[in-house]
Amino acid sequence: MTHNSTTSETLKKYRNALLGGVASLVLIGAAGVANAQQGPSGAEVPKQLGAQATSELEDTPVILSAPAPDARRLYITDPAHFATTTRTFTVDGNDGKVLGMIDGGFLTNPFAATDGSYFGQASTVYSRVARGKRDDYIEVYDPKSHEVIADIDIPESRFLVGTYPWMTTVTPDNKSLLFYQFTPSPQVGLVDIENKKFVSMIDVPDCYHIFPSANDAFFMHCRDGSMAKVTYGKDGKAEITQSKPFHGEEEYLINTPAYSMKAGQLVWPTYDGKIFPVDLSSGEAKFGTPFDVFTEEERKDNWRVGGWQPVAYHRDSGEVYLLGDQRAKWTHKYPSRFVFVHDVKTGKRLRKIDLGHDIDSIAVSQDKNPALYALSTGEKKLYILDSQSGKEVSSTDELGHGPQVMIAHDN
Amino acid sequence: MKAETVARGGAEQNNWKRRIGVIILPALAVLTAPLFLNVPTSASQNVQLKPIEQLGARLFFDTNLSKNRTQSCATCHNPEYAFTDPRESAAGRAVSMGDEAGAMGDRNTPTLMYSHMTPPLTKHENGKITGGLFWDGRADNLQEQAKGPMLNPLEMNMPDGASVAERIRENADYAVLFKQLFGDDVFSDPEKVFDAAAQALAAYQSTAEFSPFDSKYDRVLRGEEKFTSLEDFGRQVFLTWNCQLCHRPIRSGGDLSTELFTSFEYHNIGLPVNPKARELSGKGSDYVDTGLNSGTHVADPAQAGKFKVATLRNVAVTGPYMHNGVFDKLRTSIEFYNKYTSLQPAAQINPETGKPWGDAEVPENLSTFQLKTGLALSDYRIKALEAFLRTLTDKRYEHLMPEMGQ
Repeated sequence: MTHNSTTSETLKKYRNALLGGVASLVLIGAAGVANAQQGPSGAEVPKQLGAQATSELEDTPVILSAPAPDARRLYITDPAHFATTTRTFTVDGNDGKVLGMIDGGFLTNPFAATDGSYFGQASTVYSRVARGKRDDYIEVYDPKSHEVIADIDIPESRFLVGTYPWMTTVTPDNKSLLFYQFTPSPQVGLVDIENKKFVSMIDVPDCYHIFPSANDAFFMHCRDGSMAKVTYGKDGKAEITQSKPFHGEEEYLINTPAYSMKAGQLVWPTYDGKIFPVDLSSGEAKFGTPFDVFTEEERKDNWRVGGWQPVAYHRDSGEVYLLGDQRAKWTHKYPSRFVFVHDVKTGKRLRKIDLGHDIDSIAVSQDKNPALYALSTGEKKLYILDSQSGKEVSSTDELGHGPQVMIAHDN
Repeated sequence: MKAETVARGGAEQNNWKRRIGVIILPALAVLTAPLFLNVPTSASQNVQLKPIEQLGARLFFDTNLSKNRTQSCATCHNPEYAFTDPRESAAGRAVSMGDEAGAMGDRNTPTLMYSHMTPPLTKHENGKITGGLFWDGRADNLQEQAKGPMLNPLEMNMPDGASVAERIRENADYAVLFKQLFGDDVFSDPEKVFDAAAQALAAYQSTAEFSPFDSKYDRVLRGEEKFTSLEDFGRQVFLTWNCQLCHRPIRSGGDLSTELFTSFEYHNIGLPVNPKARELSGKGSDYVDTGLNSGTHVADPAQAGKFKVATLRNVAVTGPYMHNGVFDKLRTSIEFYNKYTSLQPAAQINPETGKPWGDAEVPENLSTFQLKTGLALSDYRIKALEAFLRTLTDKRYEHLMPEMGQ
């Protein structure tokens, strides 16, 4: 981010304002949330303004732009513990700096184009905040200016649930969007992002989540333990096939699997830390050999998966990152303090990272030396770690009321 | 048809003798007998019957209490069929044939199992009406209810209570028993005899034979057996879907072991007329069965079209279903509810007819909240619900269960 040049007329005014300790408000207004760390008196100059701010004061406030998204662009959604208004923060995943923010309605589902060309959310608002007429819509934002570039009305049918990233997703070509409907019967809504219009609802079997494998096909996970493949036309007419069940009835697959659309690789842990790799890249579901993240001994010591978004996958290295900790059974939504890194093909453990914090959600950047993003809902804080050494690189706090979901750009 | 009915009546007599033969004792023996006798009333259990219950049992199986002596309570409430009517008429088993040739009812004969646990018709402060016997709740208790069929021209067809008393007086055994149980002057007033007979019938229907609580569901609760995965899923669906809004008790206060799977409330679920049964009943095409509002006991038009929520115990063996027997299969009865929630066009079709379900006989007063709130049932959940409902079948009727979906 850059601060614009000054003019002499207003210099004095701004200097006075700055000395009065309110300049940070200007910056917050222009650039989203800054790391304001004013003391209780409000009189201190915010330290992050640095020498430049005190010597080269802005005179003309402008609306800033974020830089173009790169591999370290991160979107963090705060469902705010089921509040009717929510936020999604645009974050620079290098240093955790908040670049911008969009407002959302109830239990928004964030999404981001794989090429970085847009991001957005499926959202729901009501005419009287939390009551009155319901209105569901898809809004698409410019990732630099954070201006709305499309607002697409959809039927009032979104699945209102604690945010699962794969309940709303763009297609590989970024031209369409698919969203899940739970009631009264499972359906998937098809939205034409390119032409900014809702297309149709697609009837699907008793299946959940949406993993696009092509621009006209996606997979879902069904109640009977199978994967359904849904191939659809531009008009939304679909053909559906179902695989054989690939896991047992007593193996509970978590709500927030990791999926690399570019690799067609789905990584799906159970509560007990068994990973089911499913390769969708061929257009058919190929079930890899499941492996256990925890050793027999660790399982006896009550090591289990836990968190909101406890798994991440790095495409090029095939590394699977899984949040785990020692915990009682049925505490699988509690945060964890460790990440276990395994190879998706061999199942072999590569390393174990001590996060040092209670972490609810993780993500990794898809570049060569990936960043490991660790989000604490309780602390409302993002920790950025080196995914190899586990060393903490940076952190950002004040991320809303209860941030839970991260979408890392899949560049 | 009459000959056939008589023949069935004969078979039934034999059946009755076989079932309660042991209690037909010489009058003197009854007079001097201890109050409790071991009476094998079913293959699975011995039930101790008090004298009044024994008398009720005899009356229950006695065809002399119908005008042409062709049918008893047990003719339509056959104990071998969970006290429902297994006889096929021109309308299948939807409605029952009466004592008079050609006489047909307009409502399905319900099970008597667990009926003695039905509370009396009660109007609550919140406007809800619960309890009562018959599909429309017009009788407060079994004693009151017992008189209905004896005097109904479409059923046992006796002209009045006095003629029932006369039939009872014909039987010397009865005379002794009635005096023993109801006093020496019981025959001084025919209405007293009629009342006493109804009382004895109610006593019999209140015995443990009618509420054994020995279904698989009960056995699972007692830890003796386990649900299959499908049954357990069905139970979960039942307890979390809209079913439990009506088919759950307000009575037991959470005591699952005496759960009857009814709130005893009245609801209009928008059922269509059963055309064949209606035609045979002779009530005419203009007739509307307004349920709770059809008699004089509830005058409120806001109750029109509502029927009592039936117990689901033994539901798998007591088809056809609903107050008019309109659906042959249990599965169809479950699928009917999808009419209100599913977006699928197929959900508007009765799978038994291949045609739309048909307009509600009474389109007003639908239980919209209970029917339209929430989710459609997937095929698997329908199957699971059926599997669960089958576990509510008492042990001695388990052999009657048709295959799933049949």
